[in-house]
Amino acid sequence: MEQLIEKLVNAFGPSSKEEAVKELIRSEIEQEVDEIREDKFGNLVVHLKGNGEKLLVAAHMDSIGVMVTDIDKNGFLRIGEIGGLRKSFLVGQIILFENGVQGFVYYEDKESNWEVKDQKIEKFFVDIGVYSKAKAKELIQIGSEGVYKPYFYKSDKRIIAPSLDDRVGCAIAIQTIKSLKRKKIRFDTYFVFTVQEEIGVKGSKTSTYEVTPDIGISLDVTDAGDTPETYPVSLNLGEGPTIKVMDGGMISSKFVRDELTKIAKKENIPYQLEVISKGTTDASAMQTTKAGVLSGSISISTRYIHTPGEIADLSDVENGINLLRKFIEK
Amino acid sequence: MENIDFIEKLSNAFGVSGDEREVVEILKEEVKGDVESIKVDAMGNLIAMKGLEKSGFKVMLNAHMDEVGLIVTAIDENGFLLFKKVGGIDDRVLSGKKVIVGENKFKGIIGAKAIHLQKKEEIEKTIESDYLTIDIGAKNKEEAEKFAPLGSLVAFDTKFEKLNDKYYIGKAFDDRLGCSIVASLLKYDFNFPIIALFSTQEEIGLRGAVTGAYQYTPDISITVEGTISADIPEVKEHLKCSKISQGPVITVKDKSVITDHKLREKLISIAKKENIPYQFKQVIAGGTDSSKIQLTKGGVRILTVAVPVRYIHSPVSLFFQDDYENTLKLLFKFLNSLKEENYGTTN
Repeated sequence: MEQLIEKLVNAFGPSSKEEAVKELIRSEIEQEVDEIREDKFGNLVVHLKGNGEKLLVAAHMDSIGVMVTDIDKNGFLRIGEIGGLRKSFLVGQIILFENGVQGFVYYEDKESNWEVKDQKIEKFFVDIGVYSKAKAKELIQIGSEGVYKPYFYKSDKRIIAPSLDDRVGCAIAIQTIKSLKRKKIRFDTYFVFTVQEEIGVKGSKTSTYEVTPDIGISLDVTDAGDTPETYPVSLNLGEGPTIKVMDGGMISSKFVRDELTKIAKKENIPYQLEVISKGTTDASAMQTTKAGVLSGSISISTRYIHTPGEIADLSDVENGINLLRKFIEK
Repeated sequence: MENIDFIEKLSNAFGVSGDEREVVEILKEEVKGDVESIKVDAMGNLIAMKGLEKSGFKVMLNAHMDEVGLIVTAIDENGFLLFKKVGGIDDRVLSGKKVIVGENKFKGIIGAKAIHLQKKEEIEKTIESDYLTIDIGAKNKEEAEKFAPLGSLVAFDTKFEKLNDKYYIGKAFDDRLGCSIVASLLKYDFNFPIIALFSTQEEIGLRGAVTGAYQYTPDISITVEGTISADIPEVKEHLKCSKISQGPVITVKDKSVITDHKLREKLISIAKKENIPYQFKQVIAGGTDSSKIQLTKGGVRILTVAVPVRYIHSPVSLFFQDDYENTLKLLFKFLNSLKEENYGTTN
């Protein structure tokens, strides 16, 4: 499991540049599925044929990142945000670009030369270690996308990496596809690995339109509330995957919520009910597509989301896979 | 410049979001001889199409007809009009401006206390739009109600002018320049069906584009805009967004979309081949109809290309002739180059 997550985390994939993640996922599951294709928006759509209602399970491939907006006369790069970048975590990070170029993020320190005071994105720049604009332009263009340089660490049970959001969801989807007992599938099941979630749940919107499922479930991460003096959220690492009741973008379908809860209880899978007021997932886009979709979400409570050091618990991931598998199987 | 009379007509037309009818009529007259079908939909969008018998991918060219303005929300006992803004306008540009009010086209002025009577702290502070009124020279409330009933839309009273050799000033270049470019492109035949969407209510939430793109969903959409150029003193290089005279502005990312990488690379290769100057939008700001069109049904591949315009969303904006012409030329050459390739998929 952790090897798969490590591979996923190491794949480059900010919003709209998900190709590497897509190829990795494709190679992992190609042998296991009836049909795998890329739709016109760039989503990877996997079909596991079954009788019964149509189920769509989505995990997003893209991560937050930065985009180069300017290259100055000395080769310093100015950047803009891709997705909900938390700017206070940016200075001091190494940014990795698609072609392997790396740079260090610093800021205009004229007014506060030791600590960052003004967190506006336009005050930051990336130093890629070149000495001229011309040299920089050989390596980087305006529009080039970058991510926090990936790393992966596993303690006993927990993992630390950037972009666990949502490579953890991708890993759950992949492992579920691999472990499902095909004869027992009770839905006509689609797994969609979506693009451009971080910039407005876009891939989910178009793929749900194309697939038109009856039931939709997103696999994502959600904020944990188990750190010192933290913003109050009743979710803890290691206490099971979460079954979403509400987030900033939707209230889950009662049917999906109850069904997941029932299965978790029956199968003795630990779970936590998730009620949060900020952020959302691909499921919010599913819910209001066409005539509507019964939508819910299984999430992994994660600390420090959208920072370079997202932390989750592997037992939650394993239990998430079990819960999803049992939901899909008869 | 060949198009300048047409741009002048478009710029001078009244078309605050919600009532774009004057612009519709001007565009209809201009394009009717060049297209096979033309209609106005329930949202007021003007949709013109040609080459419908051709097979393969469909291309939507789109520009919005509406401009920012004001709407009358109340009339006080002395006949002064209270208003709200329609679309994004800086409060600081309102005071002292001439306006055109409502269907009766009454002239008016947005008034404030003369500087002589202002206290020091009043002078130093921007007067918020809620504390400004429009004076249309009405004797009393009854007369004002007759001239400009509640809900009357208000546009800046600005006449199109040549400022200098190649510089022009006027209102609503965002996005009448786009309208003019799309209308010009309709004069040519391409190898694929063209849907021209002249949309309404862009400035108040990209509303017209939603229904327009739902009815006639293309494979590729090109949004043609007049966009922010902040190449004025005191703005740092990397925050100028775009620069006058540097050519068409190509969006990689704005607040609402990342444009299609493959199409954009093709567009840039055409610019290079044809020696057309171009620049990128260098601040991630603003959003356009392309974000709504992109997410229509199963998804649409999008591009956004714009003429750089200084002082947009104010009573007077400025553009440079070569930028307009180069934007038109780039789009023409680009459309001409779209041929056999498969544009049904993203990758």
